[in-house]
Amino acid sequence: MQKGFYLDTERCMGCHTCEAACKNWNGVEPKITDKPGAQGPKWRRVTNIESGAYPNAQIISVSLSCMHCGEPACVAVCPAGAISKRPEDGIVVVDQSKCIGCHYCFFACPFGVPQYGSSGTMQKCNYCLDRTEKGQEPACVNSCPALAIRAGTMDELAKYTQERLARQLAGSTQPSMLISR
Amino acid sequence: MQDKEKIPGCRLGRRTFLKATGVLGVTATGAGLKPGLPNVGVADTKATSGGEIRRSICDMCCLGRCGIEVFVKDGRATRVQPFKDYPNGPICVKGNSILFQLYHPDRLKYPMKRTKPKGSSNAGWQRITWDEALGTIAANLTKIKQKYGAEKVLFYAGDPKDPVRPNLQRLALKFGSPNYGTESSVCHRAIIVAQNLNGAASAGLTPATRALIIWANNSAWSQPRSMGEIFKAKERGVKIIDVDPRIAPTTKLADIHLQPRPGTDGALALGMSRVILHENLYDKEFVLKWTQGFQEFGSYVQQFTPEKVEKITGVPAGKLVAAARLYASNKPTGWLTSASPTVHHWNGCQNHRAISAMTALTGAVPVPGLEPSTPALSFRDITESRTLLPPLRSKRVDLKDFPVWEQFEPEIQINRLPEYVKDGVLRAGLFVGCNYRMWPQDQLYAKAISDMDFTAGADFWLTPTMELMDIVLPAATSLERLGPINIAGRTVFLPQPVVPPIGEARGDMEWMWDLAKHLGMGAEFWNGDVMATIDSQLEPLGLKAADLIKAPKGIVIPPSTTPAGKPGFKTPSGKFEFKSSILEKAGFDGLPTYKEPPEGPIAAPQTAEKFPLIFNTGSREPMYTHSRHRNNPRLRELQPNPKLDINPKDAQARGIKQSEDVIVETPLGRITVKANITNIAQPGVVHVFHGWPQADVNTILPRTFDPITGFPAFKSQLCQVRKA
Repeated sequence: MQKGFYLDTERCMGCHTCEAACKNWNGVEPKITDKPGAQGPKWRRVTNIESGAYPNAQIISVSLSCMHCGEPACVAVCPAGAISKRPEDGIVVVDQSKCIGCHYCFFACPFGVPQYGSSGTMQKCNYCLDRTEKGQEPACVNSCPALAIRAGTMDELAKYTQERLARQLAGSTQPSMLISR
Repeated sequence: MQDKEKIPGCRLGRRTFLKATGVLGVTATGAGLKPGLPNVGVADTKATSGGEIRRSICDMCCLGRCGIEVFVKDGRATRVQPFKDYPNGPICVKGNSILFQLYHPDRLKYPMKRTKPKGSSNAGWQRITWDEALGTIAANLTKIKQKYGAEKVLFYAGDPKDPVRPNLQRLALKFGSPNYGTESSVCHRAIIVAQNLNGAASAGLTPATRALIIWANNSAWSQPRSMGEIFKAKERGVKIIDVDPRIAPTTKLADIHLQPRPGTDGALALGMSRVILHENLYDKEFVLKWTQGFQEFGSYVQQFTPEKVEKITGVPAGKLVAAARLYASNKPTGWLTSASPTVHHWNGCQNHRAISAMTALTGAVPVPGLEPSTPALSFRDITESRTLLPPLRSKRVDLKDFPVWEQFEPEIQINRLPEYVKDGVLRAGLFVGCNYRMWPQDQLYAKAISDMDFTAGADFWLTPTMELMDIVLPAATSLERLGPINIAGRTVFLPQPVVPPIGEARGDMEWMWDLAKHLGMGAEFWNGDVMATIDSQLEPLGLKAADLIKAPKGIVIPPSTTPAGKPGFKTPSGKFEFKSSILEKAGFDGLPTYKEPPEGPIAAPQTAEKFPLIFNTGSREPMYTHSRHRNNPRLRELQPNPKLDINPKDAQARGIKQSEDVIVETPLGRITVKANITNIAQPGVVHVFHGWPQADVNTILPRTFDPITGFPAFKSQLCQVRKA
């Protein structure tokens, strides 16, 4: 049963709690830089998207991580066999000991998910397997004050979002990600 | 800059998505830290699995006090997560970064004394024992007391707003000084003064609310945990009006969004009141029976026609009328405000009173004592200010400057500290946390603190303010100390240390009680016994400290109902006062009159020619609490630099590009920040967050105080912005 995430953009309020909870739980190192877009490594990222102009401007926030794609491009290109898709739940995991830091996955991923810290090897969302395998929510979901993120099997998420006009994110890699309209 | 693409949900092309999420341009290798960015070593980046869960309270902001669960392995905290069963929570982005505070290499670890004279480039800090530190403090405070009088000693508490404040006030009063002040001189208390002048607070969001006005409140970034209730209200169909010069996350929940020019809230509320009266939408029964000055208020608001209010506030007349109708036609109404935005103006108290009056017209102000109520839990007031303060009242330093404040507040209004020190009215200070950067023209406050005969301070860090002290004490964080008692909803919780303190850091309550012993007042302070003190505080709740020690999730006290009593407001008339008799007596307008910000475009058109933008400071960012957390790498990476939020239109007119350096200039000086071009800011208004040492907004703001409350006008100044 493929697992994935749902994001309700009506609820996401750009507070960054999920980002910090993810880094706290998974021990992801901080990196401070004022180069735009160079912050990281981040396994989950919150972005504000603006549209329109005063007085009709709109701002929404989105929180996204690895999509644990149905057909992950990263797995296909990895020359070291370091990335794999778990048959039981479709979670895409990376074996740090095999990763050679070549960045092929970074360029293959349509969503810019792979991240690199000081070790140089690829790291990314692992669906908090040390929590989810015990029946707990991933840290991001568990911490969200707005209940904007949900985790579950794609069937569960589809059922949950039936009345909410959510759609699966489009892409050749079949991202396991639903987002509200 | 502007992304035209709305997030389409079903079809995000690759480039669109990358652009939207800012992924393009990511370099894969770790760039080194640039000069000027903090070198933040250390930390908890090795999260280990397992360990025991211990529970405490998060102290990363001043108002949250959310429950937090800490994983502890081999005596060291490794991870945190929300304490789900606790009424306050979940922890936010700051709470999730708390371990970087706990284990920061720059934590103050030992008491230290200055060995070089004040004003030296280096204080020559020397480690001393707690006994020597407290002994020296006690000797110096006693010396001042004997030579000049106890009231010459200031007892000051900074952020966080901790329940440990009553302990400090007790210390002050027992020592003999009424001059206990806090950072509440610039935060929140002015709202309480305004409420008390009118009579009572308006209802907030309750299960019955049908229309809610959110006036200057962005809890998504200041207190995310409270957003849950607002979402629930939205889902149950509550009409929401959002009054905020910015577009905040709350804005997307609003049926109507009003964006007034900062500082004009009063005019907007008076304009809405006029519509409510004209269209006969007010609560007649409440107004006739429970208010005073209604006729005069009704006459006064006549001049605030929607067209005139549009000219003052910039809010389109049609939107104002629609908002007033939507609000007043959906009773019961509620009002959510936040600590300070409405009162950080020269006319702030009156503006806040005007909003309160508008909500009162819709019957939003419950009459105290009319219905049976469920009082909130509280522990015993150990300040004893009711009996100890009156005999000392004449020695309050704020008595002449802010007489209205003084009538309501048991703590002094401290914003004229530079004058009090210069005049020798205050000669020594004990600072339990303090940040001189919180005041406008803050260099004067740094000088005042430095000029005192003797000062001692407790903090987590050797901050620029602590650098001015004679003695510094290492304070324990909430994860390292016992207490104070935390009440959340119906839950009483006593946090116990989850890890041993860093160095010799001690809880504030613990060292203060020890200081009382050094001052020879031990008997009045439970002989320094913290547990005995907590027992005494808990007595009205029928609990003992030992009970709470055994209850790791706290003890829930079932609600009890107080029967209806003699109904009436706590005002001289016993009614809600549209026209305040207390203000009139003090020489102010009794009605909540609107006056232009003195440094604004209408009152100071000549200044506005050179400085055409409204300069708004102090609105919350999710990752920082005032000046705190700039040294927390997990938070700093989210916002590495001081920035200016500026509308695309204003940026374009000045040729300003995203993220480039810009100069913000006021008649008092300039600071350099990075431009953030965003629709968060409306055209004509720019926003800079406070507390950055390298771009301190308070160095370029004037000491303009609201004459009623003494609150500084942080939010309605004028500035110009240009490329650096």
